[in-house]
Amino acid sequence: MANADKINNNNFEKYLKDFEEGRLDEKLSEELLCFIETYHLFLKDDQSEIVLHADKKDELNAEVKQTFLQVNTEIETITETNIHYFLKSKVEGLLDHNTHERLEIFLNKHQDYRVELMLLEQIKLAPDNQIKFPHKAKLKQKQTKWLWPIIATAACFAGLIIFSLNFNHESIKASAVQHFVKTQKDSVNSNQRKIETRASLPQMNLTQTKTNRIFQNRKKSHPKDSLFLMFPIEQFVDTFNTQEENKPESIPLYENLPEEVFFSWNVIPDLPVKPSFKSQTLSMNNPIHPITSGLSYLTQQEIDFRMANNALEKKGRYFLKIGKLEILHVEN
Amino acid sequence: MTLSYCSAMTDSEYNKTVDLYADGIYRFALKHIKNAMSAQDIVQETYTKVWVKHKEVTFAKSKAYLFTTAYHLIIDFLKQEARNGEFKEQEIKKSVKPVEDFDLQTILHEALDKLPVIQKTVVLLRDYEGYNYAEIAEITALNESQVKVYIFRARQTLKSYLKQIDLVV
Repeated sequence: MANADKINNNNFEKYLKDFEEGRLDEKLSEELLCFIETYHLFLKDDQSEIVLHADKKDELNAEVKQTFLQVNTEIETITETNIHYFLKSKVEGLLDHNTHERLEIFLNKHQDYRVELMLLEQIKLAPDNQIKFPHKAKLKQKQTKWLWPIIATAACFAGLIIFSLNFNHESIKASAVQHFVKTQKDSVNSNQRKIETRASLPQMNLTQTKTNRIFQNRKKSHPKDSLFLMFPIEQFVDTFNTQEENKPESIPLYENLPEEVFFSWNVIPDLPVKPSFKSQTLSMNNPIHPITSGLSYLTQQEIDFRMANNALEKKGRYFLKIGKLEILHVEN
Repeated sequence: MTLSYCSAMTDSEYNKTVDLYADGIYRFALKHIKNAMSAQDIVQETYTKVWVKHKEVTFAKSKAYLFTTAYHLIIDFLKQEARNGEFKEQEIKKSVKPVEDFDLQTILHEALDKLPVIQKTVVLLRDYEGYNYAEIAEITALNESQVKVYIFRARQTLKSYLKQIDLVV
């Protein structure tokens, strides 16, 4: 930098304006700072506008200017002129090790500045920790959103468990198709048995039945006792059992149904060729094993859930077992 | 862009900033405004603004963002008060206290009230919060050299104030 471009008494206001507006680069800012500190200039902040207030502005003559240029070229030299700059830099922790040592040497020679340094070191504001913001709770955000998915999931599982406990019937284990076919078969058989039983009724000895003996021991007969006497239950049961034993084994109606019918219901009936759950589930993973294990332990029911591995080209398959309820879902 | 989204502040992190920095921001505002209710309003407004932007601010940058927001709100408040002529009336013109009541921090805080807003801000950020020059420059939208000068000037004024009341060691 040429001397003409250096900050001096004639041009420092221009640099100062650039500095306040943030247009001055770091090097020139440092130079301006050094200039200000060297000649004890004070910038007076008057609200929004900052103007220069120089107590010693009039003293800035050519001789001082020359001194300043010398300081600029030998900025590392600590003198009584720029000692304040180094003292403040020390308090702010901006001095490197070498400069710090040179400052100590200077201070040993000029003890008055050591007092100045001690004073500067005391000018550190300590926060008043007793001042606390009183309404922190109002500023915080409530964190309850994450509870709803957990509550919903728990409610679903609880519903499934209650369902499995209350409806643990043989007909649920079977498929809807099987239940329908079995109901039809039972209905036909039942009707046939009724007809045959009625045909055999006149040949029975009504007085020798166990039911009759029970009613005879009562002190007072009930008006409905006559109805029971008309239907000897023991004879009825014996007759039914005899017919069942002698009856040829019938072929289940659902054996002739195509397999697609059962799979379209997404359930597995007791077919003669029943798909093996074990063989299905061996290659399937349980992604919620801790949950199902915990629920099994709590409810004393076997609860299992398996999902097919996509890599095995069984996408969409899942298997759910809650107690005696077993559901296997197979896409296509 | 993706990285900033991934590290955006969560609800719990936001609440953590309340625990960590609300007191500091309140003290920072109170030192400027000298009015507890207005300082509380500043803190609440600061956190409201940060909550609106909490998806764009990382937890690591939250402190600087909070103080920057608070600083701008304080400046706006002071400008508005200056226009209304109210802040001038609230300024405390304290005389020099007798030496018997000497407490260095009390005297320093009195002297702090005599500093211009920008000098007070940089000194508070430096001494209260321990920010370095670069961080203060980021908060106050100044460059580092300006921050350095303002801090030096503020120290000089505080030192002169202490000398004035004959508290030199």
